Amino acid sequence: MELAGFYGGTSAGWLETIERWTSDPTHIEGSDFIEVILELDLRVVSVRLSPVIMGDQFLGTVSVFRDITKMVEVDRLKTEFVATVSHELRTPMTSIKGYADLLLLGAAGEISEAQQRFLETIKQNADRLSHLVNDLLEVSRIDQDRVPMRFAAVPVQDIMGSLQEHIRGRIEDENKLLELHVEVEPDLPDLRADFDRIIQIMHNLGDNAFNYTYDGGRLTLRARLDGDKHGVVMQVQDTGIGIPPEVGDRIFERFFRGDELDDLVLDTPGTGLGLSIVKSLVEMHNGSIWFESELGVGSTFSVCIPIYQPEEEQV
Amino acid sequence: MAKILIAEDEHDIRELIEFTLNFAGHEVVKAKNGAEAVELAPKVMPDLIMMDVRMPKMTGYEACRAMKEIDALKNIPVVFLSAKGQDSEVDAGFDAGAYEYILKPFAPDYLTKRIKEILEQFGIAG
Repeated sequence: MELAGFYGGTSAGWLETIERWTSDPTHIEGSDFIEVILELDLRVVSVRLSPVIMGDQFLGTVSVFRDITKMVEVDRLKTEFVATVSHELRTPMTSIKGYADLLLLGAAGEISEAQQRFLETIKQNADRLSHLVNDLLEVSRIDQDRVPMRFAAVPVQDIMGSLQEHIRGRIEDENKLLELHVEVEPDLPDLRADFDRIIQIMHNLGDNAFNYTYDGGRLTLRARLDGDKHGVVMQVQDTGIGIPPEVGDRIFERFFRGDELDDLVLDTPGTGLGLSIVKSLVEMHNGSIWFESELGVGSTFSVCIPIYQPEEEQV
Repeated sequence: MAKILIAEDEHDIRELIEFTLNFAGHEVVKAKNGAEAVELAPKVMPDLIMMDVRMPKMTGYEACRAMKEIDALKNIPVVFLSAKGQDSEVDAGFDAGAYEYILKPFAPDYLTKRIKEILEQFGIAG
């Protein structure tokens, strides 16, 4: 039997499956089907073939043809859009940062103190713009479901250790007087997580706690097994400015900063996208995120991530 | 003091890189796109080639591949500069034969430091 015409190169797989269905109808599952994407001259067509069974007899197939040309094109444009926007925005930023840096390095002659201050301001704002672009691209990828996740068994200690190092680094670099306490339960099971993303999540929470706590404050990092034993809860607690009760879950909204609420928020550069990105990433892990807070006392952000179950992983 | 060929279609960034590398004591030859770079390279015989990824006429990837086909040029380290849009861009860069990938925006002193390290690795007095 030969399939000719449109089906071309994909026909071998089809034939095999149809021959299998014909010769052994008793093993056809209700959910069996063949799906093929055909790229024709001007259009892209998706074909889905399902077997029709009566009792244990294979009667034939039902085929559904869908013109997905538009869908494929839109998808391609979206990907290109992200890449193009990224390039277009980062190009002028390279010049702004680059030339400010060259001036600061003295590459165009000695500069006065005032000139140095002004140039530092230009640099810092270019960096702010840079962060905003990165965050926007991240948000755009999340919206399009284009965040590739590589799940593996991740030891909790690796995550908490990295977070600890990150915060200690900032304490030293920025000369801030903060105590750091770490309380990680022993023998915690590994998490089912994308290592880079989980680090991103925890570092973000750590940065917020660091930013919104005045000198003399304390940060506590905790990790414990969740009540129902299916996940691990990681917490970042601070003795910072706290979040007003009326804000509630708005804190996870895009661009929400609450800078009318406290001067420290106004003084801290930020895009207001951090927590919304964190929440999306946590949800992509099938986890949950919540917080408790009291104005003037501090906040505790908690993230629960499922533990790694080897039998669930598909090859 | 090395001879570096740079290929970058954006005028301001081309000048920025030239200035930065000159300031670090290197000689710089400029190309406006991938095709010009491939043409100039054998005439100039640089110690290192720095190319933007997205350029008209010929992209950085294509230029890099073309240069790796030429015996005289294939051992010259190629450094890509790019405003990364996708992770796949970075992979494509290394697939094309690049030695290093520097993201934009970059700090000039980071660029200088990286170039120095790469030149040292290739045994070129920088």
